[in-house]
Amino acid sequence: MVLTLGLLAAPGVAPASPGSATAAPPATASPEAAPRARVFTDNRGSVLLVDDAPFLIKGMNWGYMPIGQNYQYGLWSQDERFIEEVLHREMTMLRDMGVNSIRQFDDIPPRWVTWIYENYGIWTMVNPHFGRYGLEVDGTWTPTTDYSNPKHRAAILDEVRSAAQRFEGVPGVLMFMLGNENNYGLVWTSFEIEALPEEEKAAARAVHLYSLFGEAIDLIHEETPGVLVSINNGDLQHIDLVAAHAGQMDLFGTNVYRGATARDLYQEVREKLDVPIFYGEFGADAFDAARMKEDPITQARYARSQWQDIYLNTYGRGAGNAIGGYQFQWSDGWWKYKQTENLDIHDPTASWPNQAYPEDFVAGQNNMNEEWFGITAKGYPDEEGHFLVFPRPAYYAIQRAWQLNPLDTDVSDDEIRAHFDQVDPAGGYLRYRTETAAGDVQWLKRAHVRGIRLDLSSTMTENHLRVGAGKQRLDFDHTESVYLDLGARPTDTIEARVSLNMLGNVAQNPIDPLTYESRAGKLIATDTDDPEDIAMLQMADRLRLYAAEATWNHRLFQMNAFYRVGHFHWGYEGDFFGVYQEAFYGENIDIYDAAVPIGAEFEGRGPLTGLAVAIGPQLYWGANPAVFTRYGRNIGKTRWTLLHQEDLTQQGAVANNRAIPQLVTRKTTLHAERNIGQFHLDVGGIMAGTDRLGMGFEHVRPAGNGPSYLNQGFHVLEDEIGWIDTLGAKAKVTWEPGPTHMYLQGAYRGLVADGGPDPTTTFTGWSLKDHGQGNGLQLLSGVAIDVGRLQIAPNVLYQQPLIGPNPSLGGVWDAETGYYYAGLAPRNTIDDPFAVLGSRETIAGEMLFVFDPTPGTWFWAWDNPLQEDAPLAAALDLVYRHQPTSRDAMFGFDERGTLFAFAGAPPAADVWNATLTLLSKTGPEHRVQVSGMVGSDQSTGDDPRLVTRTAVTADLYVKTAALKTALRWNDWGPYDFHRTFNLTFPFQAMADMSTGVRGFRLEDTGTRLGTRFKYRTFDEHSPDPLLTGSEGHELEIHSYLTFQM
Amino acid sequence: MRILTLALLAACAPDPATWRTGQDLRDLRFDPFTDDVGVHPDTSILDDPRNPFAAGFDPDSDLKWDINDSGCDRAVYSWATALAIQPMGESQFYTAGCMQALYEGGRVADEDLYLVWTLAVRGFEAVLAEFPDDVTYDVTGTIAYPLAPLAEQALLDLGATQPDREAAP
Repeated sequence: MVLTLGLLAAPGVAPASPGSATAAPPATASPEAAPRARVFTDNRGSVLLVDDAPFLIKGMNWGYMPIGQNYQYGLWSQDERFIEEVLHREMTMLRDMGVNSIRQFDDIPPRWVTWIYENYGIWTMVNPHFGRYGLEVDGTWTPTTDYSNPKHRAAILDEVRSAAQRFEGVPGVLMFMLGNENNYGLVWTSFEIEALPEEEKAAARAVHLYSLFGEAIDLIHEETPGVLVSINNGDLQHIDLVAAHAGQMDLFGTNVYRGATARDLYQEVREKLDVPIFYGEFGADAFDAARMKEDPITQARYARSQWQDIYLNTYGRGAGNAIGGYQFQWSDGWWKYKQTENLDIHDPTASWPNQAYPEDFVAGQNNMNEEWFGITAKGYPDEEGHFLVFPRPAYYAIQRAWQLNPLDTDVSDDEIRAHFDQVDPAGGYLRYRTETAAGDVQWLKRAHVRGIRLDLSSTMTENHLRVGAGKQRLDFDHTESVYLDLGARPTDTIEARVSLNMLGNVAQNPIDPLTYESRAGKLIATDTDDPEDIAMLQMADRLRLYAAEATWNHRLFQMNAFYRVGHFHWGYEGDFFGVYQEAFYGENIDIYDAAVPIGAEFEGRGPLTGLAVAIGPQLYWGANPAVFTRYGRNIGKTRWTLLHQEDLTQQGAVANNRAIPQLVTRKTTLHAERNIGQFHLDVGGIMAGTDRLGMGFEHVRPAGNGPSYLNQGFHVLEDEIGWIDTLGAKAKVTWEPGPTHMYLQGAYRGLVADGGPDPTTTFTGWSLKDHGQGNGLQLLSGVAIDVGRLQIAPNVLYQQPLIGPNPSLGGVWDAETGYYYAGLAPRNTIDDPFAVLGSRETIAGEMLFVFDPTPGTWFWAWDNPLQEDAPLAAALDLVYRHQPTSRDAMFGFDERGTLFAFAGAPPAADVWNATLTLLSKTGPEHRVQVSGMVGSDQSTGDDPRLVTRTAVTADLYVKTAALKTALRWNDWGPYDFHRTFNLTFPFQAMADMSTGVRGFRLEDTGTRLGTRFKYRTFDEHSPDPLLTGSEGHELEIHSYLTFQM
Repeated sequence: MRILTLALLAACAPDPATWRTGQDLRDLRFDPFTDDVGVHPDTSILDDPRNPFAAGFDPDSDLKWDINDSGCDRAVYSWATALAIQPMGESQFYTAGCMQALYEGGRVADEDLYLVWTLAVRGFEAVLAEFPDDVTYDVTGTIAYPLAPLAEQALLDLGATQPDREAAP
């Protein structure tokens, strides 16, 4: 017998079981339909009624996110057919489990709420996040919400109003829940709050949050009368403030991780709020952080205990106010740890401690594994993004538990206990293992072929020197290249990947001959006399280790080893001087056949938290074998980071990598950062190049009207590096008062106090940044002003070397006196302790305009070409550099691959650049990217010719088809040496048309079939000596098939 | 404390720079810095503190010819320096030629005579092995002479049976 209440006997109200709502949803629903959920409360407690029938929320935090994606992924922006396939597959499992409601953020389109309800009888609780993850204010994305700021409050209320109106009368909407434990994200500061004692600051911020909750609840009640509204609180924190400021809520939602039971939580809610309570989140993870292995049975045991706790506090029992909960969560979130890295690795790193889960709790260590909270495990996605989930024992335990209805008054508390005793947490274990094993058979996790890529291509080329007519002028060749990806996962904590490349024939005729495959052709030109040696070398070089990486998740550290796989910099972890450089080189490591980066990184955990070590033969391009160590910790409100680099020896095999070698060195930096009100302050010091103490160098000083060296107007001084030359300091302050963002940065660096280029982004995508080299004073300052959707961002740079570049001066022999007057040459970074390169005297200005109507997909994110969702987003960057003096010498490689230093440098010259970038997403599968550039710049060698160049590229993606085009006028060729030797082409054109099975991707484009056309003309500045000097041309038609599995 | 501070400051302060002036090379004599000096691919000449051309020497300039005309006591340093900076057959040939002249003229210390002979022989062999197609030019810079035959003749003149240089003079 179902629960009998007085109101159920009222005329016109038919008793209904909770299941009835799911069993027979209406075929159609009126948008104007009255709310169907309401709360009934009497002295026995509270109950949720749907269509006047008691309703226990058997809820699920459901989401769909393939492995390899993160929070940027959006199911609802996929095409309709894809969404329907996903929903049919997943909602079937939810319905069969007994789920009657899912929790969804308010980005779910209302029509899908109705679709889910009508097809599966599952209600949706709509959940505006209430500024939890930032919000848009006056067109500017604000990552931290200030609930005391009137503008922020108004923006949130606007969003809530919009959601209320959007979902009004939508069939399938159960109720609203506002926020997601927003009380854990109250981090803004203000003068008012700063003035309070530490223990009062949190409460002061919370008052602003809960008063806004109160206003929002009133707003929804006003906009959509009768609709139930709840907030979502983190546990019962600030419950008195909740009661005081948001007590008008209909229900109280809370995320609770108290272990097996919530203890006195229900009673406290009843006493202080007197509204029904449900869990917005609760559960347990399925990973044992102490033993570092999956433990789904313990997870099921928690699920059983927690649901029994709910049952025993429903209407008429215990506190009488429990109305259900939303289990956290449906499937594992592989993206959650670090959120942008290792997205395809199921990271076992625990990220927060909780003593209420004692099975894997160790004092001082984390035990909550964010990536393992799913009651289903996640399978790998197929090409389209579909994946299977495998129910863990918790799924079956909850399914079994829900078969008893606690709202049936015939059921006693003892019967509930007896029922839950019958729920076996290990009951579904065998089935889970069987299903995951079946999944593993497909994926062969532990030692498996991860993929195979077969590149087949043919290349036809022609140039004006060829004789004959028509097809006789064409030269034809072909290439076959196979990539084999192997994976190994011997334990849950160790994973490795190896990629091999094998070659068939390699085309010898491409007009851009440097490719990874071209290594097999290079040997033909070696000086080896023995034909057998050549043949053996060619055979050996047709099979290569292309790339490899390995990850080891230990309790005390995470290790990542890499070979030709990129790694991030430490710029956001306290590396203020850019010492440890990022190592993502794209296609360049293939073009130059570079075995970089190679090494390993260790990130400490538990007692080693804050410590990081990187070690390797070449951690970034050109680096010497070295060890980098970083340690950071908070002391008071200040974050301190100490970093040391110790080169072990000089880099070898330089020519193979085309990397400029560096002097063996050591560097130590200390960085401190903290927030002071609205300001953020960074201060640091560096000591570098102590190994160069005593090294000699020359520099010049004006001689005025007196005698000078060789009558050149200057004296030549011979000097040596001292301690003071190894020291440097840098400071940066940023200030963001609302839509204006400002920074000011200054640095002094001694002659050899070298860091590296600043890898971080300050506010926006400015081009003028800190070069990081020693020898100079530098000032940088910029302002980014948000004006609606437009950002206007001027930026200025001033830098002056302490000692300027050396001029070129030939030596003189005086045969009469027998005296020799030595010459002078520009310095370089191998033969001299320092050189003026990036630090050359410069006064530069930049004006950047950014139009980004959807700041949630940040224009400057590295993957924004893939993620941008605006119909049009654009940036225009104008840069002018006044360079009144020259620089010292750089390096080049001659035709034998031998490194040499140029004897000179281009003269003083001002350069400028204008770049326009347009991104457009005109439909779910339609993208356009256009960029244009015009500017003048100098060679990186010594040629004095200033190049004024223009380029336009346009890429169009329609579903799985792609068209890429590029036009360039008077521009350098595609390789670095073109700029080094100042080799330009009057005109270059490229068009690439392809189609495949995947839509647009930044990398791993999948199986594709395409044709690429290249054409360019020559003049006296172009590279090929056979063609230079005549107005020639060459073209290439390259057809390719990439088959990827 | 004041003394300590001054001491620290003194330690940090670099020595004052010195002004570069001309060097009197009239008494310069060749003193082999290593056993491989002047033979490609050795570059130890650039580290030789006696080498006046180690810094700021442009191997493409005509200075090397001016110094060449002043005699091999100086020219052996300049040619070896040019060879180390920019390996070319011409620089190797003239370096070896200067070694030969210094040996034959007895213009190195007695204990270095045999070493200088071997450096001359190895230098000419390096011309044949490493730069077999390189040339030198006449004074007009227009007429090219292949270096390989000249190197072979020099090896005969030195009494070395190319390629076996074990036959001492």
